[in-house]
Amino acid sequence: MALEHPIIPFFTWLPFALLLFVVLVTGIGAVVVLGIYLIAAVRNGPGQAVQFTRYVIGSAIYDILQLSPRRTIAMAGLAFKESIRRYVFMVFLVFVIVLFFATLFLEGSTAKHYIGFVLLLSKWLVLLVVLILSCFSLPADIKSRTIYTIVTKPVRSWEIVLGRIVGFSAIGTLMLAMMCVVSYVFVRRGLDHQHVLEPEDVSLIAADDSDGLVLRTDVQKGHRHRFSLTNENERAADGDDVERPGAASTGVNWTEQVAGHQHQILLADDGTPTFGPPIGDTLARRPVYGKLSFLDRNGDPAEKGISVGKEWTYRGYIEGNSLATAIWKFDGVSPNSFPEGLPLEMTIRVFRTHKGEIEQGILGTIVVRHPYPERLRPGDVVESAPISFRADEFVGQWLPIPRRLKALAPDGTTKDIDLFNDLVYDGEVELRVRCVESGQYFGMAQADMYMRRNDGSFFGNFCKAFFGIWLKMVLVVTFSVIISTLLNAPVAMLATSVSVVIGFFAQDIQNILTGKTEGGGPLESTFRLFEQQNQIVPLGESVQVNVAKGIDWVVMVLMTGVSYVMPNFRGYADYGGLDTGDFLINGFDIPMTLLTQHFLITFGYVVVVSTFGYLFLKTREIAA
Amino acid sequence: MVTNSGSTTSGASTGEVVIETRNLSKIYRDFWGRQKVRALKSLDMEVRRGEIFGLLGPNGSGKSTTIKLILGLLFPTSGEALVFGYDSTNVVKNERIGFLPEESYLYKFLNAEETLDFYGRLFDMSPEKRRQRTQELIEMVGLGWAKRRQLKEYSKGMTRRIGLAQALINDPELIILDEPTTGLDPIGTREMKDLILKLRDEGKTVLMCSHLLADVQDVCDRIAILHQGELKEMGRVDSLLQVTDVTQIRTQGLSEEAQREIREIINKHGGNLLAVDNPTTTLEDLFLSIVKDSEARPGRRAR
Repeated sequence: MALEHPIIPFFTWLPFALLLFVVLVTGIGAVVVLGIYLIAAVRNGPGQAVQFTRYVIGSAIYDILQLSPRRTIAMAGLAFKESIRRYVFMVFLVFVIVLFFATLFLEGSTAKHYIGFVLLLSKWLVLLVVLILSCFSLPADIKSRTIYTIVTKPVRSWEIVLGRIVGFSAIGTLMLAMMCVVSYVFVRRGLDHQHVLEPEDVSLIAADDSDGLVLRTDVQKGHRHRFSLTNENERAADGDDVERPGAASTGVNWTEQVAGHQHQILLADDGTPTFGPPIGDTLARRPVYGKLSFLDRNGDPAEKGISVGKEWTYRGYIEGNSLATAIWKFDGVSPNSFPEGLPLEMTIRVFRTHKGEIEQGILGTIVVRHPYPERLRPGDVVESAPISFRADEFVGQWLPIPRRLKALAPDGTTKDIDLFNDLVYDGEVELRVRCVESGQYFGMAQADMYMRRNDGSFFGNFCKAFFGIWLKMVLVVTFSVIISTLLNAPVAMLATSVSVVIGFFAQDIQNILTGKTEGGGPLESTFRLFEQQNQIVPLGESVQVNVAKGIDWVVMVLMTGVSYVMPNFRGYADYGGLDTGDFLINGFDIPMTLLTQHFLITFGYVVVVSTFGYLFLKTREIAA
Repeated sequence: MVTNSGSTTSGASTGEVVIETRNLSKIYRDFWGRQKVRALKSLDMEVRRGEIFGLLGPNGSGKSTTIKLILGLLFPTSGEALVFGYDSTNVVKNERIGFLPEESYLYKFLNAEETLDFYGRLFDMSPEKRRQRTQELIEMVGLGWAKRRQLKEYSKGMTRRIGLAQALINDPELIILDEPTTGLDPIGTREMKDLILKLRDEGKTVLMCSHLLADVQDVCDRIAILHQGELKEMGRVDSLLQVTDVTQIRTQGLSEEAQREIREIINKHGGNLLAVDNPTTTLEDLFLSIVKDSEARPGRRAR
């Protein structure tokens, strides 16, 4: 899984986030106060404007102190009942029906497709429902004048706003909880399958000449696995005593990985292989990341790996059969945390300049090295003997480093060393990866190699991903309710939708304005679309073009402004991006630190945006 | 013996002022801030504790605007409206107010019990008090048999009743009724009027506006008549309905001769003078004459 930026630890993030929040709130607050004053001044003159501004600010503070949980819950309960009695749960029925039909086209798909599909469906269904509910509720009350019976009671505007946010969020929560459970069952049932030995291969077993042969399972869910009964793919071979996460026991055979999973091979008394359930596609890995640096082909430190011409510069590449090396330095390594050795897993990209053995992975080596050789005494072991591996592309490759390692002695002999005693210094250790084959390249990013601690619960991770959707749902409810205090229902729905879309493409919009990404504003884009011109063809100089670009510039500045204000609905990689679904899809545990950060970001938005809702409602003539 | 005709009233005229408007004006503007209509012009009015005060006026006269300004549903363009001494936009005043809107704008998906429980919660009432008050009010408005039915199944009269119940959920000191008898049958109308009088007798203040002049005449102690946003008349109903330029003399036991002479000098003939007073007109006649006069001479107070 690509992580362009490391996830910031919570307590590193918090002071920065709090400071930013305070600065933003102060700035926004000042603008709001000025805005209230100016509007009041235009309407009633400067003298009364001061009085009015003081009144509004004083009321806001007083009203928040007078906020009653009972009234807020009453308003929330009303929104909840309103939704229930308008048959909102029919949407859940739609969800179930869509899932039912989805089984037809998802049959044989990988876990990524299953999980991606249920997340997508749940997310957009719930967001759409809460968008409609919360955009229409308040305007409908105002239009039907039911609001008269509310605002003539001792109800504060805070309570009306917060009550609706809580009520519609509760409906969304209930729906999401139900969708989460149903989705989990759907994914589990969709992925669960049992292989048997391919009938054509049974005779090979019977002839007792299966040793060394590659056998096959039967086809289930559109795939089959190859496997061998030799110890070649037995993970416990070669002194590997690191337990494979997810495996029932050590020292077992596994089928090859297909569609993101493997099966454990269990031998019956008569030697017939049977296969366990699929393992590896519904994981919640908890990786411990190191820091990546590079050596170039001459063995000198390099800022990053070389480029092989890919536009995405996320990964750096090292050249095969040279001194080019990718170095990961891990800290916090101790026998207590990893008693069996280093549970290493990696996802390496390969760039081939020639086809080579296309069926075989490219050969590479890993060397475990002392992080500070200069601190060693003469004769001490600096690094282990190279551990060979063949790079499996696009899949997480399990390469545990055992505690007992071999090292080359100065006299050319090998000797046994202990990982922790000989190579780990103050919890730090280096892992150096090289590509062995000439003319081939390994591409690596920092998040491509990690140590895998005990995995988390897949269901727990599933719930965390739904929690990410929940946060987005709360934000959509909040924005919808607040915008609907100002605009009528259809316009509020449109405005909220546009805001969410801008939030979704925030980074792209900002990149276009700052020139990081090629592209123009709406007019230029439309023109290029109809003229079939790509984005880098110059438009030429004319009055029309300049006018269009001028209009585009204004629109883009406005959109960029909104994009900075709106929460980022996409992209786990950015710190504020609220979408954590990719973690689940790629089999990684969603870090609690990220969820906590997202929760606080959402909470911050709810506080600020609700304040706007309060002001809109407080200063609005309900009966006008 | 000289007597005043008309209903007896409480001592409201000297009571504490509950609602006070000072130079209250409202101009409706369009999106661009241009004046659309001047709905209310410099209204000065007081409603005192314990009285039933009626706002009268034809459509568009400003009486609904006045009520909305008093409730804080609209903001005055100039002047101010005070309720219990608080500015009308202050939510605190609502603790002591009950409001029955014109159409009983209630949530149709709730039933009667849920409706009253919901409004009770808005007054921060405890669950026990809400339950007790809900049952009392449902019995009072005679909806016990339909308390579990959603309001969307209610007839207009039933909706008015539950609307009234929600207005009284907090046992308010001031009750504002917008067209309280609209949609009620004659029996319901009579019950509503009796209830309004009962509320007054309990010491509550009632401000109501209505098109039904007979209803206003029946229950109101004082009225204000608005036309085209201006206050045209305000005072006690009995005073306003007096025809002051006409003297009415009713006698008993006079001879034919005395009856002839009485046109000259009544008292000289020793008749038993029962009453000398002014005849009253109906509120409808008064109302129509004020409206007619106002249209003929806009901008002037009727009397």
